[in-house]
Amino acid sequence: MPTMTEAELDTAYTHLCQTMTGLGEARASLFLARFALLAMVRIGDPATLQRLTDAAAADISS
Amino acid sequence: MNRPFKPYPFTARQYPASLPPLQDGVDKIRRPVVVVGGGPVGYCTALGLANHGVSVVLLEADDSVCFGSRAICISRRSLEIITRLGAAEGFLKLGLPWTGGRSFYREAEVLHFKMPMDENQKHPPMINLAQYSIEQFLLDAAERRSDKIEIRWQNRVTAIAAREDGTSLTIDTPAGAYTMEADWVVAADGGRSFLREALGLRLKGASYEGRYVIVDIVLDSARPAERLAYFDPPCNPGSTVLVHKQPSGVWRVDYQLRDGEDPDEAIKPENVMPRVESLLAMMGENGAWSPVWIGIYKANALTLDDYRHRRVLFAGDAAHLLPIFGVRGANSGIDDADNLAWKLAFVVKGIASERLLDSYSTERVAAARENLGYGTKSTEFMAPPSFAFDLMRKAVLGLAVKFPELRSLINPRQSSAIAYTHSPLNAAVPDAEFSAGPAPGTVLPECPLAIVDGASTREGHLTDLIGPDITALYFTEDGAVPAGLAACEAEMRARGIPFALVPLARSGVAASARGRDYTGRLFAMYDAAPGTLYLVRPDGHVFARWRRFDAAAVTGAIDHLLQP
Repeated sequence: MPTMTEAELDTAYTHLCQTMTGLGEARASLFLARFALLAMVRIGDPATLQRLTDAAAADISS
Repeated sequence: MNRPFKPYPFTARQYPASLPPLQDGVDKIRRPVVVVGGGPVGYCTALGLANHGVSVVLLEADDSVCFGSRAICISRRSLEIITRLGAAEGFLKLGLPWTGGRSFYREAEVLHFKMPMDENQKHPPMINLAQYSIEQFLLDAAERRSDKIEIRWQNRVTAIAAREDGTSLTIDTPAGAYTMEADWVVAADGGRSFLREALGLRLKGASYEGRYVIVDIVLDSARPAERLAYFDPPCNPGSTVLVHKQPSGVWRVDYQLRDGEDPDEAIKPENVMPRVESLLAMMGENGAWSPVWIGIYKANALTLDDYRHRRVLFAGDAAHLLPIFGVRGANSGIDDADNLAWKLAFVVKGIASERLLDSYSTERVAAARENLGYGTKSTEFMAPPSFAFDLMRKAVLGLAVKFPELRSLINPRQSSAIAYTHSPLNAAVPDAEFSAGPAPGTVLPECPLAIVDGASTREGHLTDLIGPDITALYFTEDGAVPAGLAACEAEMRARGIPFALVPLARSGVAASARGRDYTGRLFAMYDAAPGTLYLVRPDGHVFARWRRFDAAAVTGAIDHLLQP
């Protein structure tokens, strides 16, 4: 599995935040849904996807 | 709920206005260097110039050191610089050293970070010290150098004429106005720099909307010094709160205003006290406390494009405004001063061309842009500039306990030494021969060693051997130096170039050795073998290195440094 440096993660995180800022709050949910779908097909492993979906939902609060 | 304020545990000396001897309202003497601004950057510049034997007049608009809560963290790199300036004793005695911090999201600890600290270091990665103390210790050192540094209090610059051949300043004081001529002016007059405005120069970059209230309190607490960050804490839901312990029982609390909160209302004591009270209750701090000072802060990430304007050189906040998150404000200004002092001194003394001062701008603008990059990232996390940064931060904080690989996104990216990797001053030497150690442009990694001073030996560190010189660190078996290198030293000295040959011995102790690698770590750290030579600038940055001494190469690298 490819690993990122902390700096690379940081850059990717900032790019995602800036992209979402540009799209505006109204389209943020759809943007994140599309990103999740693209990440799913790229990850390509059903067990991992199951685990990540559960982890993202666990302890979620507003 | 209002509490009476207490004064800071510090009393500033007040100084009367001073005027130089005048002739027709003009300072009788044209000065080689005038520093405008008596803050940390102004003092460090003046002390650096004095170390190089250059006289300086320092103009300060106020009658004392600063008041209130400003810079509070001094980095290891700044301590190294201040040590060279002969002012570190007070910093190390009073300052509170710390090595890391904790971040909390609601009630859970989500990050415990450590800054680099190992047995090789001379100084802690950071100390906390209030700016009034920082300025006081630097002022004390400047007063010890009254042979070279003349401080004029209550001298406010009201006009400047910057020419190609010099600068005229008009100065107002309670004792009367006067004008003076200077070959060079250092503008260290702070974030609202009058000189920058008067010369029509513009800072460029971003300003952030998120505002922080800054509160200093005195609090009775034995809690150790570390950086504490609370995101969305139960005591102040929706806000971010930072806590720093300072010397003499002072604590600095910074908290973010909620969206839509009115800043003027927010800093009223009756609105501040309950938030501090609930924070202290959440932290379990039950000791007596009193407010000392309240201010407000908005993050800026701005810089001038060029720090040289004719014969005026900008440094510190006058040149760039960095966000507080990551503590780069004062620390980058101290680095500016350290970079500028030797270059300006060399130009004033006529041993280097004016182009050396252009490299001050090149190097420090690049450093500011690197600092701005880190500072912007810290600010985007600490004061999210949009709903997206806010939403993503909430996701990071909520997942960080179970997913440690996300924790680096919370890390405050504290200030660290910057390398001048692409500096025009670095010698064009193929560096591939080395597999470790500081490449040209980098500061010296610290290492303990035995310092040999004639017949006596004491424990010290490598940076103790860097004086106001171009230093040649020559790695040897026993300290013996080839005749060619000694001749090189003699030639430099004959040309008036401050050059120090520092032989480092691996095992033996020839009389000429200045340091001995008693830990056995130094040679490995520098990927050195007997014959390895590093050339180091007066600000501690390496500018050339070779596996073996070659007189023509050394002379060429130094000539390139002085006539870039």
